[in-house]
Amino acid sequence: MSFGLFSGVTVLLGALALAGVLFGLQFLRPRVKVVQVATALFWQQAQQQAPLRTLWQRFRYPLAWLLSVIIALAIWLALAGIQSSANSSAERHIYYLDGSVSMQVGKRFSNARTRLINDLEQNPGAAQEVWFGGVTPSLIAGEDASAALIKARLESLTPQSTLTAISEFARRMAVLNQQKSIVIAYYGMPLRASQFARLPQNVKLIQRFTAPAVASNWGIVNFGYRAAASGDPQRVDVIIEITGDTAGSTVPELSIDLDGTPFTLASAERIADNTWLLSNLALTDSPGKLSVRLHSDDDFAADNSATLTLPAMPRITVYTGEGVPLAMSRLVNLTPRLTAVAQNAQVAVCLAEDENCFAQGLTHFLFAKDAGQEGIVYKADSTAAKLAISQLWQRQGWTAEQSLAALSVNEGEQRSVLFSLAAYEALSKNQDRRLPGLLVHSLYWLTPVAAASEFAAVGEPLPTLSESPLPLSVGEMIMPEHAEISVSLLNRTVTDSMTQPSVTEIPSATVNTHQIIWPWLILLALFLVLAEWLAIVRGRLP
Amino acid sequence: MSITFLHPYYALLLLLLLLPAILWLGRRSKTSLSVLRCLLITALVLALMQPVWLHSSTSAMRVFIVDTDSANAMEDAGAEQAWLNEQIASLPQTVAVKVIQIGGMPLSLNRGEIKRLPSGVNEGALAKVVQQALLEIPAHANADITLLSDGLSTTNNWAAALAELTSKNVHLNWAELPATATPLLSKLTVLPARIGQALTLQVSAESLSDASQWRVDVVGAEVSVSRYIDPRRAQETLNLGTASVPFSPLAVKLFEIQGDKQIERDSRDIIAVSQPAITLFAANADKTAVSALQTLVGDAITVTSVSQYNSFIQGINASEAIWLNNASEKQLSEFQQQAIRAAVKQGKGLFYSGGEMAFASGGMANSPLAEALPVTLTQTLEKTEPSVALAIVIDSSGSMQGKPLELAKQVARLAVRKLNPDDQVGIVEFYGTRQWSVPMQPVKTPENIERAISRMQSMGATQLFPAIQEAYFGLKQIPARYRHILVITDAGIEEENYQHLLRFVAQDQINVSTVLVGSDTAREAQMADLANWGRGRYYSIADEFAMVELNFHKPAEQPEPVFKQGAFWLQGEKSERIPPLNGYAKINSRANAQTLLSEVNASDVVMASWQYGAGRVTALMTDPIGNGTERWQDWSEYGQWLGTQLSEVADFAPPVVMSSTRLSDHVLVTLRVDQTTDRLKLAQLNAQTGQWQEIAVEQRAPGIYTASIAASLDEAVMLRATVDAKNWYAANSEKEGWFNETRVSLAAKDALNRVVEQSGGKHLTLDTRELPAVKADLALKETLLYPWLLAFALLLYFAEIICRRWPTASINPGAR
Repeated sequence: MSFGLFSGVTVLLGALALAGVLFGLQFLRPRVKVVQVATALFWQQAQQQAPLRTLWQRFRYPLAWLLSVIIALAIWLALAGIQSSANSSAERHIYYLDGSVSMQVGKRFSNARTRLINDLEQNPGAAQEVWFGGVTPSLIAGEDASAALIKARLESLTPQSTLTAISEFARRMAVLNQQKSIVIAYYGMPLRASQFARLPQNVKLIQRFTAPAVASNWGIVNFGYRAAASGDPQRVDVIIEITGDTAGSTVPELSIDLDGTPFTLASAERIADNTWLLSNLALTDSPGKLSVRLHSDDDFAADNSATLTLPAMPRITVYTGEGVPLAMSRLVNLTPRLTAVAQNAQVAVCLAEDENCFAQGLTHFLFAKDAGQEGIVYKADSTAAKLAISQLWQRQGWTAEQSLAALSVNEGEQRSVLFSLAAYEALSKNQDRRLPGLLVHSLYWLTPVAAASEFAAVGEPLPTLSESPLPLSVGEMIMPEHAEISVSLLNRTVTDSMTQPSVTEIPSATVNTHQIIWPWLILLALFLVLAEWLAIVRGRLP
Repeated sequence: MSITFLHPYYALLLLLLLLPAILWLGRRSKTSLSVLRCLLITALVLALMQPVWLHSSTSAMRVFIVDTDSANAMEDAGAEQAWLNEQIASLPQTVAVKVIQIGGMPLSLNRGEIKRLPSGVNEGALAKVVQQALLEIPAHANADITLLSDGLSTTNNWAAALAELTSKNVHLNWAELPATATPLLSKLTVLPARIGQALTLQVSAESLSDASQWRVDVVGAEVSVSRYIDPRRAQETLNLGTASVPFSPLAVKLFEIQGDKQIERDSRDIIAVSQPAITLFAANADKTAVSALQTLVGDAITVTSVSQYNSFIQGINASEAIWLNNASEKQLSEFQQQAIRAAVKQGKGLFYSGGEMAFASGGMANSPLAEALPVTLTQTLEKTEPSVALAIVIDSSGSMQGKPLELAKQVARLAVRKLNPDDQVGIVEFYGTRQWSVPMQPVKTPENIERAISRMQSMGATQLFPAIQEAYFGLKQIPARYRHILVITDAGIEEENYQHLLRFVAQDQINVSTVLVGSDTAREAQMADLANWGRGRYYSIADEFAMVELNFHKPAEQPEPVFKQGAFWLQGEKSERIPPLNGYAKINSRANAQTLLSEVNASDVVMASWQYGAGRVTALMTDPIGNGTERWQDWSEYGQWLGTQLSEVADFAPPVVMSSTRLSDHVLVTLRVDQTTDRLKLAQLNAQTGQWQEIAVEQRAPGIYTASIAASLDEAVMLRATVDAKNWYAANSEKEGWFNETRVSLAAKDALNRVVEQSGGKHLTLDTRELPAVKADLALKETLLYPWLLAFALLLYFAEIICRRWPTASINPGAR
């Protein structure tokens, strides 16, 4: 037995105090003295001679006292919130309402919520916690919360565009409650057998509500970009993949737009079943939003659209030192992506002997007067950089035999380019038309475009931004540098699971932890109060 | 704000039953008593309906995480507790407090709920503890988390925790506790290597005391290396020997040496990965050459030949570099050369070696491959006069007496004068018998030969047949380029089967020419036939005015020889010590090429290299398995040196780049390939069974694939990616990216600092007296009203009793 509001000692003391007070009130019983008069006409005389009631008399009606004590105690114990003891303090019972993206279908979420509320109402005495599995699992109501509060809080919830976190939630609860066993009543999407298999040992998962599978579903599962295979640094290739019911239903139409401007998919190459490749998409000066929409009328709409943030073409700041060929300065001024600055540039273009050069830029393009220096030497800081420059030369056709400057690719701690001044002057004198492209692409190579995230899927780390937060839900995500990235669902497991039924059976009831008793005591008190009143009005009780 | 009844149907009980009953029963009682009794009943029924008052109220919470697991826990526990209690005491009562303690002695708090987690929970990852602390924060409460810790988390992966902090708008404050720097292995990097190449491990250590000596031991199945580390530099590069398998598990231990004692301070298990050996396609080599090269370079390179593939193109595609040794125009068709050149442009390497054939006489100067080479193949032609061996058969029979013999001698003298000193000549005279008046000999002293010719006298009969035979046998063993028999006679010869003889002689590459001296033209046809059968020429010299100069030399043009023989010392770009070379082709390198080896005295280029398109081409002007490098066969490092040269031309960019991130229960793998390919496969090695199990990959962007592999922290993951039938390997060692508990790098603090900053929290110390305030937020709360109603009911009951029993002066009309 336990009490909700007071401690046991307090309840005992209160009970004794009530009994004592009621005992004392018994002595308040008025005494009536009989005055005999000769005739009823002498009632005035009798009234005047009648003594006042006294406040004290000896205790005469123990049964009346007992009845009042019972009534008072019933009310007092109800006030104290008497309840039966919890079956076991070694168990913790949790109701978990899944608010993930899978619950956005039709009335899945509202039905799950209704079932949860019904279960709560059917177990009024249960010490139950209610959790909501949204973007992060959150405690909606603790053990002492009433159904009214729980219901009010649940009514304001809606499913969110995030992945279900029930497995991770179970794991965390297991760690936090290592000495207890945890029973989770789950209200949500159909769970797979593998999710049950990965549960910690002290966690038991009971699926109290299973959302029904949808009849069919098509969804976008992959949407990402990468630097164009053509080698043009101002272009990217994009891949789009969809998946869905392949038996019976036709593939829905796709539409794409870039910053709201639609464009045709006719140029997209179909590289596999339901997979398209958009090649050489041009980048602009500002980040672009590439959106794809699947025109499908299935019930699950969260995977019917996706948005990709394309990077902006950054401007490269260039510092040109003294003595640098004038044509180079002109080239910097004429090239849209390049901006001439006086200091703190990304690339410093100088003569190799210029000692001030190294402080002016993060990377360096140097003209060497050394006669031993032939052609162009690229110092690459990684294998990828070496490959990039070799492939650039190969794609541009600047192979050594075509009398362009000789190419050497070496390793270095930092990227740099060393161009023989003699070779440069020879090309310039011949007005070699390849020279401007060679210079510009070398500058581009020195400042590779900082990779934004090639794709952003909910629940997956961003591929190139290792210190960024994990995307938890669909929408715009603010990165530490205040840039925005669009996060999309892009989850094949979710898309495929929409049409799959659950593998578990639903047990008949959850475990009740304890019974509340005080309402019965109130009913008892009511009955006794009524009985007492009846006795009082009939004069059976003083 | 509203009042809700959990069980509203009890109102029916009130309205329909009880109140009317009370009023009717008490119709003769005092009104006050009835009213009180009704109020009492009403209060009880309302309590039974369980009214709840829902209202908004400010709600704030502060969660403290006390990491008493840190090294300083025992020393600073008192200070931490005092600080904690001070902070809690300063919070208003409206702010809920929860404390999560990790390990250590139980804290005693004046207020707040405390939850204790065992030491080492979450493998020491503070991010996970923060995520668990987030669970303590209800949805409706505004809260922040204050972490008391030295900040040394075993992993720097805060992505998920940071995302949850941001999502819940919870600030993470960090009250930094002092951390003791512990010596540890902070970074272990295995440099890229291929099977057969040296495995190199870079070891970085941290917090090494100058007062002790420090040693790193690396132990594996085939590796056992120890190296002392300079505590000031704290970095070493260890050569672990040659890799022979793709995965080499290694145990790396850090020892502190104090006198005679050695104490293990840290240990890590890693897996060194070696990529498959470079495949070198010997495009024109036979099995012997392939075998010789393979023996030389060992396991570092797999040398393949055309016979191992279905086609030449397949051999090119399956390899990273191509080897051409002593190539010639006749060996490689134009199509094959074009294919090699195109492959090099695309990124394959080419190692071109050889001697005279490769660089001069092979006819490669005008071939498609020539432009890809870093050297200029010679086109200089020289006129040569191949050596000649001449056997002059002179008829000195009686019929030749007089003028014919004189003419014959003159012809012979003129023929001899046309010969070079290196040529050979012999004179057979026949006069019934035959004899060598001048045996076959070099024409070093032509005057002696002429004297011998002059001494001839005519006598005897004519027997040409055996003379020709004699001349043939004399010429047969002479190794001259051209061999001739010159028959000078007046044609008075015996009848023999000259046709058979002369055709036989001609088949042996010995030509027979005839000279008819004298004026007897009747035998011309016969002599002409002899010349015809002997594939020679027929001359008729009637008198001295018809004398002809017979020149048997055939000048030819051929590429000027370039191969120099001797003993040549070399100097290399990297100043390596190389034994002398026995021979090399003297060739000019192109202006843009890099000279890797040159001859010391003449500065001739012996090895040159350059970039051709996306590939690299190196030319070695000698045969690596031939006579030119005979002395190198005894050079113990020759194989390694040659392997290095071949490796450096090989396509250095693997077609797939694999990276992996280890989370606590799975490993996320990312694969990048150069272009969209549907031929990418990923497999994981089952350490128990040794079998490869295929793993599904998902293409997320062009050429970017991901896969998720379930694996606990203590489980190493070994992977194989297959692209274009070629395997590439990667591994994620157990606990990769994680530190050992209590062996965490001080750099881990930086990661925590960034998270604190990004979440909007503050970095504090125990000297900080005031934490940033938590802004309370309005949240929906409830107040249960039934206890108040029951208390009211209790009061009403007492009031009714008192009212009923209070003494008054009135007489109860019902009493007697």
